[in-house]
Amino acid sequence: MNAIIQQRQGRKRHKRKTHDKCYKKCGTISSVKDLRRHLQTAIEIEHATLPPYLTALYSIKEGTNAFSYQTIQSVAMEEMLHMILACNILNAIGGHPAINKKRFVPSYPGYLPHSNNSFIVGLGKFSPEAIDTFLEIELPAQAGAPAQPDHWDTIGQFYEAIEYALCHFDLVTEGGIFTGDKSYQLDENDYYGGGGKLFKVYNLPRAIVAIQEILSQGEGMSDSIFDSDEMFGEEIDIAHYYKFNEIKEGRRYTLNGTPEKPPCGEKVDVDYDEVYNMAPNPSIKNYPEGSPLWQQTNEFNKTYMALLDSIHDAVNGNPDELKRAVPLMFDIKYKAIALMKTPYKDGMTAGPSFEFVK
Amino acid sequence: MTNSTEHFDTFLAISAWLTGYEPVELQGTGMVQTYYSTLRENITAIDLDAFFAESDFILAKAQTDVDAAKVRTASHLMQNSSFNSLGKQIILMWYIGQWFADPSGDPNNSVQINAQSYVEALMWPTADTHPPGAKEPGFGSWAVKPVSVDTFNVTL
Repeated sequence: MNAIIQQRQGRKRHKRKTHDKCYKKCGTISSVKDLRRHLQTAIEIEHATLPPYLTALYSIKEGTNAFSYQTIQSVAMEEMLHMILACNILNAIGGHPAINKKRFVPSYPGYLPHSNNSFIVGLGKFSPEAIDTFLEIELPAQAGAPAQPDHWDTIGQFYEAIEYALCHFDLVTEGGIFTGDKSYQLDENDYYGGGGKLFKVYNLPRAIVAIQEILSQGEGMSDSIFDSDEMFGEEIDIAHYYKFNEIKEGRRYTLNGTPEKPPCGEKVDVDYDEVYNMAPNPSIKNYPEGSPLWQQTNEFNKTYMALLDSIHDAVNGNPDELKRAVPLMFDIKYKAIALMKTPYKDGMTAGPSFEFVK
Repeated sequence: MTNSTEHFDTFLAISAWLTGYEPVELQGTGMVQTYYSTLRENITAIDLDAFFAESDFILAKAQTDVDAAKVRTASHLMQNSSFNSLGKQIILMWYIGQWFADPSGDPNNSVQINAQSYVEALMWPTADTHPPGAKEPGFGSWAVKPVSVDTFNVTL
């Protein structure tokens, strides 16, 4: 861990983040309070990707599309990790993640929180259109693209602004901004599985490593298709954008793969027909209140709420609560699949709606 | 000869009536078509016609008089002599995922319908547990109350 931090700090771009330059690049992030608000948005963005990814994942029929299933699953697991890492950063600077509130739950179809509203994200079955949307979500920032605290073009540019603000406010605040209660931090003892690593954040270098982990897994290291898992002592792995591109192209990248070229490795089977034919963007509003599908959907949503409650408590002082979230995550999967096996209309099935309920 | 989808709706409805699960819950297992095909492979069309005619009668009765429909079920579907125990075969199929050639005779004389029928057998959710080796509830889940109990305020 320390070696990684030293390596990170040694990188040119962080050395250049001196006080003045950071301040200029914070953009509209004007105070620590405002920075906390942006980190809350970061948590919301990470979470907002999960219902679309999980819906596509669970629509794949058992025993088919093994490559696509494992790919989407690994991405979803890492998004959960990113969400908790973002919670750690927010807790580290004395904020309080708000997970189980109505405004936290996105509505689909819709835009990702605080984005430039250039693409719409919905809940749909595994399909070429879904993969295209996933590629939009994970699109790498162009080299030299500016930090963007609001109306971001790419998630990377949004985090870049947060990173500058963390540097700036930590420098100009007496005693620094990393004053949060350390017992609120979650680490690898609380979370397992998936690539990457969950670790405690209690100073600026760790916050920067956390952001770099989030970005490199999502979009890749600036000019590479690979993420930084190797630095965490894990197998070499490619970033989310390129993982989805493998599905789109039906081919793996090779170790010589680059962002400019399509993957040219071995072929993978992608069969968009071996999928439950879920009607897009399920909603409880589609069913008469009290009807069987209304009840099934309501039970799904209640389980989803119980999961958000659990995560909320886990990142607000009760890390053990994350263990209670595990069976809820599995239950959500089984309930989602059951809905996708249930006929709805026009030859299409019902599906998980991920809606807020009290 | 009946066509391949005749009685399908009745099959779903009588399955719900006999198992105590809602039709939508049975559909959620993804097994309705498989079990209906199993019936058609193992039971002659004439016997199915007779069974589903009785099922339609009971289901209609249940709309107006549930108790009378239950009495009729006990006397006309649940006896060993009723349709060669077809009612019992259907219940066992849903709960265990196996086809019992003679549920009133040798209880070991059964075949597993397929791999999914093991995973989706109703005995698992009924007992608030999961099929070993499938539908795993996650690491450490044994340390907390079953999800459904907690989420839906079911009184034990």
